[in-house]
Amino acid sequence: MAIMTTSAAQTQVITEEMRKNPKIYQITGIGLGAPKLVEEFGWDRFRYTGICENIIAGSGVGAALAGGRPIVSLGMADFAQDGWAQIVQQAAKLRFKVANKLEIPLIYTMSITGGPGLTVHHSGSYHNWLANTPGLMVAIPTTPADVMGIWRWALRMAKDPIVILSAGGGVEGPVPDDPNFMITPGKADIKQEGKDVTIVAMGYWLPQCLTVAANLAKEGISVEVWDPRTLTPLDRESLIASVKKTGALVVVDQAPVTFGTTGEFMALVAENLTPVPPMARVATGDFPIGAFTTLKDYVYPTQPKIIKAVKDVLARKK
Amino acid sequence: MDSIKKEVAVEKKGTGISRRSFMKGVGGVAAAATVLGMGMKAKAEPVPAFVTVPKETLLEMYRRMQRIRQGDSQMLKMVGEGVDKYVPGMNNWCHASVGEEATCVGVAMAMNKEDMIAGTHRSHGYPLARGLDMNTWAAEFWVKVTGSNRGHGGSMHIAEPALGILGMTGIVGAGVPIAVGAAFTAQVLKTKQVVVSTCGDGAMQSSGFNSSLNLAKIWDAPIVFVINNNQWGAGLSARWVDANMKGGKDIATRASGFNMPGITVDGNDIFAVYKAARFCIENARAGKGPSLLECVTFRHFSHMGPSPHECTRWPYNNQAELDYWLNRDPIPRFERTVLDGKLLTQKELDPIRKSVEGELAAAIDFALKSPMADPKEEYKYYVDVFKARAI
Repeated sequence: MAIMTTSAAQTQVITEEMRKNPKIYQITGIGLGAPKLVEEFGWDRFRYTGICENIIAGSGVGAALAGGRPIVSLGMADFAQDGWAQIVQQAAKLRFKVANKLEIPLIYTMSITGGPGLTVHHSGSYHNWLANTPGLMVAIPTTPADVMGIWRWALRMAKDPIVILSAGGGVEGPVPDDPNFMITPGKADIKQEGKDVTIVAMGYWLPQCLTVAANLAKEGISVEVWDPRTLTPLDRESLIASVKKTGALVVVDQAPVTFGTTGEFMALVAENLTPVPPMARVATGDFPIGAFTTLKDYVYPTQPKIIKAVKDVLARKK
Repeated sequence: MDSIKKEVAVEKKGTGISRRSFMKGVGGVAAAATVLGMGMKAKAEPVPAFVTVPKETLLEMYRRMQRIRQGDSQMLKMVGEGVDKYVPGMNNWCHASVGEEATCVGVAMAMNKEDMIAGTHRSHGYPLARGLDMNTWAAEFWVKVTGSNRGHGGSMHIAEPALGILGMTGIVGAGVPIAVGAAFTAQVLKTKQVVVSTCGDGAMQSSGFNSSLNLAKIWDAPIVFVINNNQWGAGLSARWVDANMKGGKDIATRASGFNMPGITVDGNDIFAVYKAARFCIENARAGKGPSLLECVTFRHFSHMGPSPHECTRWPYNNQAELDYWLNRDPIPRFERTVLDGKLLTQKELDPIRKSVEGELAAAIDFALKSPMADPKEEYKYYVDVFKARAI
């Protein structure tokens, strides 16, 4: 088990897979690629593009259709929206449109920021939009091991467009030494086992929820932290089993609350468990994100809000 | 008559529109001959041989360039120290316009008071060039409630309707179609306003840019597409990603593809910029349609902070490019022109520079002492009107 950061894990897995498979190349958006990688693989496999997300996203579709396995970087999800038309209308629907005659092994990568607001055009959380698009896989790997596992699966196995979001929150962590270590999309992970309440958390909020769990443990509250890792495909069975065990649910996410991600997790539990367990959510408010820092506690989930929600559902449990 | 006598003629050699030949030798770019190039044939008129600039205008040009230079230099210094020292938790960035002052001020001062402007994330230069109050600007930078946007926008989104500033955008290229729409309204309502769309070379590849040119020309909308061609889109050299620049050609050659005039000027020569901008703006106002004005310039620092320009780093490693442009700094050039031409004296310039120093110190003091907004108040509108929910 090596200890590394999420970005180091991502770089390592991409490097290893690029060495193995000449079909993998990067369409790098406004970035250039890491100097060492460019030195090793040459500019031909690092196609810098300028700022043209619609064209970047669309070229990724063609690149994949022609037999390549492109990694398409779109920067922040806010910027990527210029490419939404290609991602949503072309990439996501292509397989169905041609009745499975074509495969689209295509990786889109973009970031959504959690926690600190970066102002209106750099702060959006759009994973709920993407997850609401049939035909796209949407991954939010948070730990270095998850990042490596999801990326390796995408680089080796993907036959459909997958959006790998970097949502912050990733810190240093252990990564398996197995050079074939992969995580298949649709497999959730229980980051902390517990028996009193299930917290759904991902991205920036995952480490926050683990801290909350540690603090509540001191009060004798046993929290299970459940990380979906991929929104599409979604590991519904695992969530239902977890809540069936704990009997209470708190969903934490950075998408705006109304028609965001949180409601889907709650609805799944409500549909599948009788009696319906007590549940609550802590999500971002339905607001554009400004630059002034006083908005943070008002707009975003916070640890006190999460603790309050946990105590609220526990009080309703009996 | 006295005021007329005070007017001074700033005459440049030839047309007054500089050629790109000064690009020779920089980054291996060949000279481009296109100046009032292809596409000019349609409706454009010759550029007047000289533009008279009243003394008051010269002094104001200097004042506004100084505001941008001093203001952004100070913000870069403070960002370099870390914003947490001043406003904890704030974004540690500053999209500075240092180096691009002549382009911003030359264009802004060629506009009428009621004209409109839409722009980019590099949103300090044009608003200050339009005459935005320093206090308002500094307070917005430091995300305070006394700022132009009450701290909602910070460094990238300065807006001031009273100055026709429609709001700057953090999405590259997004302001260009917005400017076209504003020009449509000016046309429909017959207001005689002209809209200046500003963007950088980085926006040339964005999906909306070329279509905006086409649409503006279809309707002969009163708009000028100003390109601050600082030759770098964030960390990417435009010579790598712009097909024209890669081939040693001007960005302005794109205009010919849309049947409109395209002009390239030395963006560090405020008089060349001012003259060309007036030509384009007044043509637009007269109903002669849109034009594209490329101002070739350079920013002195990196994309969004005080670190050295990207050209000095991997894979470019080209310190010579930065040095070349530092030697063409627009502010000393302005000083040399007005002093050598005996248009202004050092005694007239010095007090302006000093007064801006005072203005800036007071503005930063004002900004740092100002409170930040109360989110409940700022988001009340969304709660009331959109029934937005906060948890």
